[in-house]
Amino acid sequence: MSVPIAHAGHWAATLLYAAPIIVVVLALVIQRWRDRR
Amino acid sequence: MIRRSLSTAACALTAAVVAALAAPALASAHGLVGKQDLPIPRWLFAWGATIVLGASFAGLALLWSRPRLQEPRERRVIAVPRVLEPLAGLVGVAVFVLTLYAGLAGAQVDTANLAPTMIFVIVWVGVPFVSVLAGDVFHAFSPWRAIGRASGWVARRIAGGALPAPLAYPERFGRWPAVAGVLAFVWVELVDPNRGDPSHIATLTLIYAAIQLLGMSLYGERAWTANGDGIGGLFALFARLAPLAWREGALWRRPPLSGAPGLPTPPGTVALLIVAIGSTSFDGFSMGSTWLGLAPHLQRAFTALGLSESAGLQVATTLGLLAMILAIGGLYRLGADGVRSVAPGISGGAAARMFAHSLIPIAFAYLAAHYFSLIAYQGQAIVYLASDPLGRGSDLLGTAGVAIDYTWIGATGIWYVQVAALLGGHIAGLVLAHDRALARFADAKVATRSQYWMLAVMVTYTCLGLWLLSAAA
Repeated sequence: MSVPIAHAGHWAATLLYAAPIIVVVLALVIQRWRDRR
Repeated sequence: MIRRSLSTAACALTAAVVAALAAPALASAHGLVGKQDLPIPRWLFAWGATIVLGASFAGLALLWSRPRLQEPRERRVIAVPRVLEPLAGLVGVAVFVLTLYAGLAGAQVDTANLAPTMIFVIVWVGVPFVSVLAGDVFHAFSPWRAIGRASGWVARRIAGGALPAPLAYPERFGRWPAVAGVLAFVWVELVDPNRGDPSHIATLTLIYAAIQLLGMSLYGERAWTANGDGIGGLFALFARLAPLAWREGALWRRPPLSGAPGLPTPPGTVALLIVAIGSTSFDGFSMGSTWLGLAPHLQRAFTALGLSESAGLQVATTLGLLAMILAIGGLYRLGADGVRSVAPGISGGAAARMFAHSLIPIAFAYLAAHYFSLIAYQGQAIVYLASDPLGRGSDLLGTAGVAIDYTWIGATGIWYVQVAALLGGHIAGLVLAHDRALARFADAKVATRSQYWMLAVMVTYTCLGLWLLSAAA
């Protein structure tokens, strides 16, 4: 297994691929919450 | 309760995909990406793609307010001579026999023998590109279909009339035999340790053809080809995106994508597309550090249970492949479940089938993006392999000395093609899903709302695809 700390920069870089998904999902969850109110 | 469990499972799968994205990439950690010369970091392409998808979604909501693709708008271009189909079948059978002969009798070196390149590059990757441009040409060239039809013709001649009618194809089987065929093919491609052995590949191809012939003899050529032939069935799905269609003895033209909404969705249709997307995803994933770090642990776990090292790795890789297919399927189910937020009366399965055709361009986009470099480079090998199919030093066409040109497109060019393919495929998926939603829901606003979660799925597929390409670069 890769050592997470040694690859921390790459963790951060690859996390950036997931960030747009998180943003879109969060936006949808907030929209749903607003709709329910 | 079941719905809730499905939603929970789908959420868990999404989390798993996001977690996988967050894992470090070995390739980028060890400098293999130096060949690319990009003006911005590769992760920024994922952000850019998300913005483009969001803008496309908004554009569709504002400007595409009535269904435009649901009714086929085809124009007859030209009549196709009847003799063309048997001729194409003859060519298909000749290439098939040559490939088998090369695999069984030729040099057992994967790069020197025609069989591996013909099956894994020209047919598996090349034919989908041709299908998306020129329609379902494989239908005419399919060697097992040609042999099946020719056998039927000969049998009718010998019997002196009509043969007994084939069995009725059981509706509940749907496309599941095709799913099993594609799953078997990708298992050989991605897991089988002997996949580089030409005689092994030729033998498996022969077995596949024999199964197709058996299916056709039982259920008839039409019913089996439509449901049981995984390879031909998948190519036929890709051909639905094409601006050309071959049917009723004529060539027809139509708007691109417009063939997709007419996709019949018997059981197994969604699964066939999900297997195509999931297996391509796993091919990329298996080259990244997440899998390369995890696989030895899984392998050790299985060898501890008494399996050999090779068998342990095969079981681990098989599980990885199945897990990826399930994750891709779970994500799609999440998007389909989102439709039920505006139409609670629809079951999740019905919603998944309703939008199944929107997965066709995504499956092609994944294939095009992941295997573009393979067809761009290894595809050229067919020029010298045609002259020396057995790899024994012959020069039948005078092209045996031709070498692969690795300079015509560089790593940067390939990356841009991959990004364009992924983005184009997912925008096409959004368009098809939006158009179907407009046809299903009378109110355009409701139709747009039904697609919110499908947008999230498209964004996830796109970012996942870019990450996989990035990790495998």
